[in-house]
Amino acid sequence: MVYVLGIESTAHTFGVGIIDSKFNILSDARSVLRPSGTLGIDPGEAAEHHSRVAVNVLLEALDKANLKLKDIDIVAFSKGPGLGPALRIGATLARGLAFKYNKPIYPVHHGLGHIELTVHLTNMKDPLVLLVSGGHTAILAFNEGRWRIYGETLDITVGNLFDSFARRLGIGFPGGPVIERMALKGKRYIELPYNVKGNNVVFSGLLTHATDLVDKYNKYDLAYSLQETAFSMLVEVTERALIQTDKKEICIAGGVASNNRLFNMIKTMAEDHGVKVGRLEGDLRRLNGDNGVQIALLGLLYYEAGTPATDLDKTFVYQRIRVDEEDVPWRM
Amino acid sequence: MENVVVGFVNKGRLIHKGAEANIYLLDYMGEATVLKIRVRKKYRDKSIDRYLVRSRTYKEAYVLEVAEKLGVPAPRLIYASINGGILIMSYIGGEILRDLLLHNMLSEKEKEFIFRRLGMYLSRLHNNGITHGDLTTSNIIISGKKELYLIDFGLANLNSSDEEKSVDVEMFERVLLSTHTGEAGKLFRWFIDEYVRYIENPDEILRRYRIIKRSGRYHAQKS
Ligand SMILES: Nc1ncnc2c1ncn2[C@@H]1O[C@H](COP(=O)(O)OP(=O)(O)OP(=O)(O)O)[C@@H](O)[C@H]1O
Ligand SMILES: [Mg+2]
Repeated sequence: MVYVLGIESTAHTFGVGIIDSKFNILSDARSVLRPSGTLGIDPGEAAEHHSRVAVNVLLEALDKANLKLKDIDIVAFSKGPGLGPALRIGATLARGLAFKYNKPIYPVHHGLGHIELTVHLTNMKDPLVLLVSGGHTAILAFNEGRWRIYGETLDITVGNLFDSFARRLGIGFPGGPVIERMALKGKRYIELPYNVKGNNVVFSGLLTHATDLVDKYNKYDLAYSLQETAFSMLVEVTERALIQTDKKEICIAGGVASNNRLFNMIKTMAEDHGVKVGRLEGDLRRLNGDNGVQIALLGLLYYEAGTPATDLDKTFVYQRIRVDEEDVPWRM
Repeated sequence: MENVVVGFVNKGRLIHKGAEANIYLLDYMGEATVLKIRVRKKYRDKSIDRYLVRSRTYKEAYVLEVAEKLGVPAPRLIYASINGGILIMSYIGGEILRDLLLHNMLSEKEKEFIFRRLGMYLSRLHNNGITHGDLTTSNIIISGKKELYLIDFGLANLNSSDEEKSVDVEMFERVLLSTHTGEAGKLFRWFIDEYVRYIENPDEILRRYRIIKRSGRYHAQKS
């Protein structure tokens, strides 16, 4: 049996996940930073948090998996995209482990982790993927060796949109779940800017406008209208991409995949095309959020595909890096 | 009138089911026409749905009329019901540019002519505040005489800023890169060469275009 340890540190979450080569999830330890200020996440604050909790999260993961460090066969870490200082905490820990125990190391793409984890756990063969999280908002399908982007946000992500709006309402991080609950109490749709360009979405106008209306309207109606507008845009571009790619399955991945309204809208749209929709359900739902398990999974997939491990002095981190720049050898 | 159109639909032949509209081929008083109906979407709030169907039908009708005045080849608008989400326009016989390129059915000369013309036509729309919003090689029909026609204006913006114009240009380049990868550079150069020749404020639009292109949607940035 091969054991893989994955380290996640792109944004708020510091996570360590351990899986075995049958993809049994042995542990999923995490510590999530609750930002202190009202401005959202500060890279320095995130790095500070991660370095404070790193060792404990690591020990917790090993303890739950009932393994010792020397039992680990492969180390993987999130190389980006994310906040530079936060990324470096995870990378440094991973390099240290790989060096000390002389293990292969794989720097992997965080967004690719969301995608592959969800596709694997939903047992989908060749889906269109709607990746919706704090760091990503994109529609992808596998084509010629890579996950190609068929549509995406041209400015902020849907996660950012909800978190920023929630901050304006004085709600803590993460804002998405609270907005979902508030939206259920909304009764009236307030007209907000709807901006779709080709297969892409633009959210900043929506955010500005909704924020300006906070003191003028019922906040439940506003939450409903904001969510409804953002999701209608996403479902529309997903439908466009679905027709262009002719896929038979849709998989929703990332933190916002937990939102039931989004899931139901996508399902309603997909029914018209006879297309199956999947997302993580039940206990697995927690894996929609950032975690070390999806990082470990990628480490395992590269390893099994025969990709050579990365030299320690080439294990860089990237604040910006697109999913469609990543080779996906296990799907070829 | 809506009922009349519904009657037409029964006689028409469905030729395309898009993400938001169905397209029927229809004999309308002896002329070959296209009937475009934007369909309701069950997944979204009724007021958003009503708003989108109306505003897109309106925008498309408006742009078809302006295009005719500006000498930008596009179907001629024959009938519009904004509330019903219905347009009737002249039928353009020909092939979709995307297919012609993918199947290698155009000579280099024809390609250069088409992409230069496209640059000129887009600049005319932009100079009048109109961005297309979904400029792709699927939304261009090449007639038998190798003249190009622009279609599908539902995502147009009628009052566009320079930023929106540069987004229109940059998104078109991305479509070329993803759909016509091998020849994208060449096609885009023909297009942009003619576009900047006629656009009213080329420096500002090119400046914004470069910023969007650089803004990091493209390449990895090591930290
Ligand atoms: N005036 C026309 N003459 C000839 N064919 C047309 C005309 N208008 C549309 N078509 C055909 O119908 C197809 C779809 O039209 P259009 O792009 O306007 O609709 P749409 O619903 O927005 O489609 P999509 O979602 O696929 O972009 C075109 O690709 C073309 O083949
Ligand atoms: Mg079209």
